Amino acid sequence: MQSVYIRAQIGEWLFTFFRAVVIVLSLLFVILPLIWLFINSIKIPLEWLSIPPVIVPSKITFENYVQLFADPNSDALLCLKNSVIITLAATALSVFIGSLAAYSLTHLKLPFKIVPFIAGMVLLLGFYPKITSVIPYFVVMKNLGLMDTQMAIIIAFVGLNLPTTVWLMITFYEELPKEIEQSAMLDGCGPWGRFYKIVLPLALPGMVVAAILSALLCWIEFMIASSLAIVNAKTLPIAVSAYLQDKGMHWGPMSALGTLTVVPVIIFCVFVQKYLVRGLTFGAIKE
Amino acid sequence: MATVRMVNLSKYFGKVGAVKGLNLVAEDKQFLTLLGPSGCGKSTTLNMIAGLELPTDGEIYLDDALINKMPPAYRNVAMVFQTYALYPHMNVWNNMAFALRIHKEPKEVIDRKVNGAATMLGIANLLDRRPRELSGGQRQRVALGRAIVRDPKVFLLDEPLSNLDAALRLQMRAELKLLFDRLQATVIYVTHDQAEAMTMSDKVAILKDGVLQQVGSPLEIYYRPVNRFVAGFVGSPKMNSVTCTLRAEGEAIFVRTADFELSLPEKTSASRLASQFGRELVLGIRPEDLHLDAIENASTIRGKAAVVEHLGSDTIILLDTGSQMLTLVAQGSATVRPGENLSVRVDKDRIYLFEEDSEKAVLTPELLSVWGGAA
Repeated sequence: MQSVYIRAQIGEWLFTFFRAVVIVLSLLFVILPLIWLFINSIKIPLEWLSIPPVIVPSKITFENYVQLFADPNSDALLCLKNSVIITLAATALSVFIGSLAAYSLTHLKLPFKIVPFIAGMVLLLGFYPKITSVIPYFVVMKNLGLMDTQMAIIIAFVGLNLPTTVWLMITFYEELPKEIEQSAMLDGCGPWGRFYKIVLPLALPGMVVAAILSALLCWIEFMIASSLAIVNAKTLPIAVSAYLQDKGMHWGPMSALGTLTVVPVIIFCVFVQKYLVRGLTFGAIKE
Repeated sequence: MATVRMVNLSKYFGKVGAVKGLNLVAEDKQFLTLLGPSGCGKSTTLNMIAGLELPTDGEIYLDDALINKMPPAYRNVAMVFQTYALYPHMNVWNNMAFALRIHKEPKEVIDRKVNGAATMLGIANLLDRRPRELSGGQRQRVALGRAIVRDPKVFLLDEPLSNLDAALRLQMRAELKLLFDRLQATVIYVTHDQAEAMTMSDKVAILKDGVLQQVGSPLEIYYRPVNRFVAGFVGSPKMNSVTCTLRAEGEAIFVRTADFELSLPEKTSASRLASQFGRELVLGIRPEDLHLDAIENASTIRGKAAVVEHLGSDTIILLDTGSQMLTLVAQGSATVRPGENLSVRVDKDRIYLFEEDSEKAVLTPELLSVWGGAA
C-alpha cells in the first residue's frame, strides 16, 4: 500500500513539474520579445545591435523616452492621441452596430434562408485577407475626401471589426433562453423594449468581450491605418514603423515608442482578463 | 376571466403537423389540462393561444374576439414557463412589477398588486433577491406571482412543475390547485404527468401526435377512455394490455387470452358485443383491479411473482402468467416473495376491451354500469 501511495505522490510531483516547465516555456515565448524591446529602449546606442548581444545594459538611459516627447520633430503625442480617439470610436461603433445587427440576424425570419446567407457573408468578410481591402479603402476614402483623417481610419476599423463582433454577439444572443424574451413579449414589451430592457443587460458580458477584442485589434492595426493616414491621422504603430528609415534603424526611440504602445495593452488586459475568460466561455456551463 | 375557444386549429412546421384540427373550449373559470406525451402538440397549442406561434389554420377566440393574429402583448394572457423564464438581472420585485410598469400603472397600484401577490405566495421576504439566489420552488412562485399581478384573462401554464423535485412537486400541485380555486381563473395547463392532470383539472384534453383523443373530466377519462392510448396514458402503474378473443357459451361470454380465460359479467349480453366475435381484441386491466384474494375458479389468473416492489403504502407485483407480464397493485405491504405462485382475481366489472386494429374502446367500466342500469 505504502509503495502505491509513494508512486502516486511522485506522479503528482512529476506532473506539477512538467506543467511548470510548459508554462515557463510558453511565457518565455510571449515575454522575451517584450523584455528585449524594453531593454533595448534603455540601452545606449552602441549596445543596440552589438555581438554578442548585451542582455544587461552597461548604462541605463531614458534618453529615448525623453526624446519622444521633448523633440519638436517627434509626433509621438499626436499619434498617441489619434490612437486613443480612433480605438475608442471604432470600438464603440462596431459594438453598437454589431450587437444590433446580430440581434436582427438572430430574430429575423426571412424567406429563402436569407438570414443565414447574410450571416455567412459577414463571417466570410472575417476570413478575407486584409491586404485585399487596402486599395478599395484607399480609393473610397480618397473619393470621399477623407484621406488622412481619423474618420477614415475609424470607418475602416469598424469594417474590420464587424465580422468578429457580429458573430460573437450572435453566439451570445443564441445562448439567451428564448423564453425570457417571450415572457417579456407577453408582459407587453415591444421589440425595442425587449432589446433595451431585457436582452441588452443580459448580453452585456458579450459586448464587453466584443469591445475588448475590437479595442485590441484597433490599437495594433498597421496595414490599413498606414495606407489611409500619412501625417495627421497617424496612429502609434505607424509612428513606430517610421523609425525604419533609409538612413538606418533608430532602434532606441523605436523600442521606446514600441514599449509605450504595448504597456497600455498589458495594463488593459490585466484589468479585463476576467471578462475575457468569462465571456469566451459564456454559456459553456449551464447555471 | 374569459373563455378560450379553438376551432379547427392546426399548426404545421414545414410538413410536420404539430397540431391537427383541434376543437377545444376552455370555459370561463375552468381548469383545463392538455395532457399527452412529449411531441403531442400541447405546448404548441399553448404557444398559439399566447401568440408566440401563429396558427397555420383554424381560429382561436378569446371570449368572442378572434385573436389569431393579435400580438401577444394585447391578448392579456399570462404564461408560466417550464424554465420559469424570470429576468435574471432583476430582483423579485422588479420581475413581478415589470409588466405593470410597461403598462404604466401608477406606483401605488404596482406596490399594492406586487405586495399582495407576494404575500399570497409566501415570497414577501424575498422581494429584493435575484432569481439565481432562489431555490427552484421559490422561482416557481415568483413566476406565478409575475402572472398573477397582471390579472390576466387566462393563465397559461407550460409544465410548471416538471423542474421541481418529487416532494416539492406534490406540495406545489396542491398549492396551485388552491391558488387557482381562490383566483377563480381560467387556466390552461400543459403537462405530460397524468397525476397532475387527474388531480388538478376540471377538464382534461388528451392529445397524441397533434390530434385530440378525448376531452372530459378526469374520472370520465379514467373510466370511459375512448381508445387504448387514452386508457394506457392515464393511471399509474400503466394499464395491462393483453391480446384476446371473445367466445360465447350459451348466454355467457368469455375473454380468452394465451394464458387465461375470464367470464364477462352477465350484463354484457352477446348481442351488444356481437360484432367483436372472431376478431382480435385487446383486454385492458388496471393494476388496481387485480386482487390477491382469489378463490380458485375458472376465471382465476395463475402466475408467478417475478418482481415485488414494496412502496410501503402499496406493493407493486409483476406477475408472470407464462407468455406475458401483468402488473398488479396490492394495498399495504403484501407478504409476497419473488418466485411465489399466485392466484389472482380480476374485478370483472372494471375490465376494458379495445379493438386491436383501430384501438377503439368497445367495453369500459362506465359502459358496463350503463348496460347494467338498462338491464
